[in-house]
Amino acid sequence: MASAAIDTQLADWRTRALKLENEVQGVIVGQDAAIRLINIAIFARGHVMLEGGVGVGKTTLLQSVARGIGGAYERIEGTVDLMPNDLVYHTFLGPEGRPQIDEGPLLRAGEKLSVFFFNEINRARPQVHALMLRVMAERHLHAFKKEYRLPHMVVFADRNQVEKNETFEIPSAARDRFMMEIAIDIPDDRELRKSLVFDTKFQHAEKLTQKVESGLLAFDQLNDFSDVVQNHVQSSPALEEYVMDLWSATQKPESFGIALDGVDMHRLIQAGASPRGMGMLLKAARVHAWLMNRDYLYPEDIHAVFHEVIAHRMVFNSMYESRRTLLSRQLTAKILETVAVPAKS
Amino acid sequence: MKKVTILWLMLTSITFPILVQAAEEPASLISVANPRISTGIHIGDVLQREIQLEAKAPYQLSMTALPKKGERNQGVELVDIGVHTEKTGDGNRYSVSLSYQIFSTGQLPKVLRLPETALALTGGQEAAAINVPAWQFWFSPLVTGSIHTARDNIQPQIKPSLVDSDAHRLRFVLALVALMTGLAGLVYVNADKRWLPFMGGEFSQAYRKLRKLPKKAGQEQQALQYVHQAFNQVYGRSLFRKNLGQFFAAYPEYSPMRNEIDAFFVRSETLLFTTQPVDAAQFIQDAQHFCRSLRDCERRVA
Repeated sequence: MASAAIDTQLADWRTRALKLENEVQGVIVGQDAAIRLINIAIFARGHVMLEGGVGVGKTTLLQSVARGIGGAYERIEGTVDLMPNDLVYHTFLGPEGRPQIDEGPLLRAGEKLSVFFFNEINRARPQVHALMLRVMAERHLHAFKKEYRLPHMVVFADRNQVEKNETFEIPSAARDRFMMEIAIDIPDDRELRKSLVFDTKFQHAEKLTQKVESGLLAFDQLNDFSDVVQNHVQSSPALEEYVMDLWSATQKPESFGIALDGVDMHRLIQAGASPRGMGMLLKAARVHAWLMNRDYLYPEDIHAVFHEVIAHRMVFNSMYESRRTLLSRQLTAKILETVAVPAKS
Repeated sequence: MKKVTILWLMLTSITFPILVQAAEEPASLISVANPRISTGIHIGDVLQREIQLEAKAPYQLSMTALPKKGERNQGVELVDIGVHTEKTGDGNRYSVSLSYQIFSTGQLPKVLRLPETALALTGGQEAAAINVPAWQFWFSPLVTGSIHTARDNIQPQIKPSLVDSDAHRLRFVLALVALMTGLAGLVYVNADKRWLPFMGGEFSQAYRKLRKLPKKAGQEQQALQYVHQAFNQVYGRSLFRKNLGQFFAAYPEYSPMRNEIDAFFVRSETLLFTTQPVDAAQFIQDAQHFCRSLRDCERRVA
């Protein structure tokens, strides 16, 4: 494709992407950073884990985004008795009183499935996690003696961190399949909080999501366009060296002089970022550079997604696992503060 | 009448030979000028005699027969001799200058003399000479008695009155202070080493390294690294363009260069993260100037 045509395509999609952001920001207030990150994940074709308390607007946010993407949207609630087959099919008695089997939420929309929302994924059993792991990685499933392809599906999962009863910790391999883990926090701004409480429009989440223009992005073209973005945005040798240093710092932070209060840095990390994780980091960073209308990666593109892409992939020693949220935030911040570009010679 | 005649004959017989002799003298001594003071002469003093004489032609002063320099007589040595000749009507007038130095020693005053001198004249049929008489003077020893009594003989000298130098001294001190302050200021602004507060800071060190960096292609990234490292050291963590606001808030001494610093970061990002060509020599030179300005900020002299 000619360069001019690619430039036009990039600009056109950028306009649409930014419009989606604006539309969703109009519905969900105080979550601009999370909306930008979700937008990046959509164009990087990555799955997203949302983390936050109850009633902070995660579902409304995802429904708004799903409406903007277009395509089919499916949702399932994680419960302790949920089994993998509940995702694939469900049985019921038909009008004639005979049992019938129908496709479950994962297969129902077929290739039109664009967003699959798994609410409270940590309430589901590891068997369900295993199924999701495979579907997220391979984007197809064999059922009813045939292959179901889900090429345009992105999974948005939600994890409630408040309650621990009847929950199952998501294994690190499953976490690694998610491109990002995004925290959805209550906004700090007092005026925004007041608006969330007193503005009656926030009482009707469904009406809110209807305000987002439907099908802003052509969901079935996102895969191809994502490849265009990834091929278009370039990285310099200096930036590549910088990313390599960042990767090393996730594995051996102590060798960069990184220290956290009350933490034995030599015992903190069991496993740093994986190659897949670093690949996803660059994928997301390239989308950020494109959204910023640049053809080259800058460190700020890496910074914009570093914590959300890397933090949940690091495996801490069990003695620190209970403080994961706090320590991972501190560690990624320290890594970005410490690793320099250009690196010391 | 007989008595008058006898008297006339007697006078004539006495004065005629004198007049004849005077008329026939080939040279005559005009004057002798001896030293003005004849007492209190010490060892090392130089005394001069000025002798003036006239010689009638064909007589003239014999230069070869003049007293020899270095002749010593009773501790009085002829150290210099000078002759000046001047033409007169029927002969020459000579001015002879004789310089004597006293080398005599002694513990008591004594009489010494500038010696009698005979100045020979040649050129006539007969030998002739002008005799200059000796001249006496009192030689005074520097100390009386033996050396052991010298201390007793020391006489206090009158202390000379001093010129009032207070005003000059004050001006001198003020000028000196101003000079030293100026020099210290110049050193403070320009020196690279660290021996005053704020000297030898991060940008000072970076500037020193940049000055040694060859201005050629391939070195621009090294130049960038020096400057960025200085920024990082000052900030205490890696400094990126998006953090410049926090940087200026924490280090307001760099605020006067806000625009230049922002421009530098933009240029740095372009050079490091894109493929835009850059004039390496110009870039390194610009980096040097930029770093020098930052060093001034660091020293609070910007």
